[in-house]
Amino acid sequence: MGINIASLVKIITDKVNTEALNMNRNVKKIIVILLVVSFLAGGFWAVNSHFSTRVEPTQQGGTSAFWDLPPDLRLMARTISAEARGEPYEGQVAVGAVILNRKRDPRFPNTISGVIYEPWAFTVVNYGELWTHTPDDTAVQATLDAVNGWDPSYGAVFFYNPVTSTSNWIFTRSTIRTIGKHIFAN
Amino acid sequence: MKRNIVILGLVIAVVVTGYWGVRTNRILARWELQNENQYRNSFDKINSDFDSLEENLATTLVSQSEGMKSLKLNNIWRDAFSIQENLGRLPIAGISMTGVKKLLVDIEDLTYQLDKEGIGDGLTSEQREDLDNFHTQVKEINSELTEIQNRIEEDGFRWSRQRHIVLEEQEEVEEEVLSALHSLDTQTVQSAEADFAEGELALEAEGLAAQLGALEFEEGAELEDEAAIEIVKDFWSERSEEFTFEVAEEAVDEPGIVTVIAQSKDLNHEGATFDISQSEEEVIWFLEKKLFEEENIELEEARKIAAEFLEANDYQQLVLHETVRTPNVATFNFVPQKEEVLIYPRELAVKVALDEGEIIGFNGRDFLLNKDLELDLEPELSLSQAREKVSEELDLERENLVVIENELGEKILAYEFWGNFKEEQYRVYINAHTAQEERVESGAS
Repeated sequence: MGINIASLVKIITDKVNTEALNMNRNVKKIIVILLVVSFLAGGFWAVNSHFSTRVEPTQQGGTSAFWDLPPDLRLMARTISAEARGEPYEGQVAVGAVILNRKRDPRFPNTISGVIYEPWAFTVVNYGELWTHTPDDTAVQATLDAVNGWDPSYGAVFFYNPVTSTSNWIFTRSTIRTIGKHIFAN
Repeated sequence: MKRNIVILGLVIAVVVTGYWGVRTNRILARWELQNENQYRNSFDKINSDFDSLEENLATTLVSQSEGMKSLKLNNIWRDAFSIQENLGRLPIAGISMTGVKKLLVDIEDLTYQLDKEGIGDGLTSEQREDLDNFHTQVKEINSELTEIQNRIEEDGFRWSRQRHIVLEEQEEVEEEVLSALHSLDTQTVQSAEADFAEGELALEAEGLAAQLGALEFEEGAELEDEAAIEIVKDFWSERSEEFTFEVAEEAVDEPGIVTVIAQSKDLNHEGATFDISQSEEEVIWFLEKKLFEEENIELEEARKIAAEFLEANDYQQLVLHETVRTPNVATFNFVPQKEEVLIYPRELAVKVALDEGEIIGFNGRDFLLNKDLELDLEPELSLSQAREKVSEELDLERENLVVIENELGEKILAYEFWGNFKEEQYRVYINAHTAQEERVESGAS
């Protein structure tokens, strides 16, 4: 493909050049247009590669508290952080509790990673937000509290933001409590 | 001339865009196929596991050898577990296919119980009936699943074109595969409900909030806002002077639970949330968010702080069961002792900050929930009788009489033996009535 473009460009530019030998102005124009086109192509490529690399895992950042966690709890902390950043502290603990409640619930997978990676279960997993930043100490603390038995959601297996939620069925679940922007339901 | 230049520019732009588009599209198609292959792999695994499940259920009924029967029961358990795992890998919502999922759990519970109790004397007629029942249902599901699998191939159905499949919403959809799955599930629900009207194990236990809210709760017996805040202030005693309190409106749907929010006057403590049981007038749990400074409190000192805090709040006769040390925080789990028996289902947790030594969390949910735990605390077995049931390999350290919850959710009285074997710590639980080994654990509890 690359060779084809190069030869094509060469043929066309050769033709243009012979016609435009004594038209310096037009040569300049061609150069300008070529520059613009290559600039656009370059920009296109940059944007494209930006979007295709943005869901790659981040390896740096995060405090030692985060990296000291075992892998499944790190995954849980990432989910909590991505789903409930900016929510009240007990809201973050509740998201962690929902993950653990699902693990125990026969309707959901039996492991933390199974629950989190279940297709379309958590939007942040599908859109890669899990990997674009590293959880802060608050999310780590919330993860540990959920694991140690605190459950502000009282056994909920669903939570959703009523403002942004697009599925209708979720509104039919029986509500247990509201924390910040999230409704926790069963 | 000018036109040629413009054409040249446009040609280049089109070629570049086209190249990019084709390339991206190919990558996308490749990944979509990859995704589809994984979904189909999961679905095929479900099918082959159902084949195996059907066969194992049938042969268990006929097999005469005890060892073979135990093997079959293990296979049944493994197949049911594997089906659950693979259901979770399909883009089907958790609330869908509950009939099938419930059947799988019922099968798991029965085989677990049969295998644990041992089937030396063969199956009782009731157990045979249960297994036979499961076999009939699994056979039905299996033949329908094969039908669905055929249709997936014939229709060119693609899982990857679907998003979050909620089968309850799919009743009038054009996708025959999904409506077939839905009708398969509704049939299972009906037959499962018909056969297990009592329910071997309720899939959806009564909500925790409802249980906690309902503790001796009489409708209309509402706690005044000031009274709720007073409970919190008492709970924190002098520390509450640093905070302002207010009752959160309609935080928990259950009327038996009131939420109190504490806002700190000090920036280092951002605030805390308390849930209070209306009827018990007790704090169910609380959590505080704070920014930590450098640690300067020893674990032993923190333990004393936690114990004093519980003492001050009238939680009596507690024994430290477990300590969880994480950066900046120590969480202590205490267990109440009644007539020399440790009641594990009524565990209490206290969280202590290791910089200034404040209590930043309390969890009394299980303590309240199992308040009315009624159990005969007199063991039928003597300690030495129970000790005979423990492996001689184990170098025994200490023993307790305890109440634990077994895998079936029953609370039972048991002897707990702590022992060491090859540098590993073990705990063995022997039922104090039936002498059955209820549980064996290793490592940190």
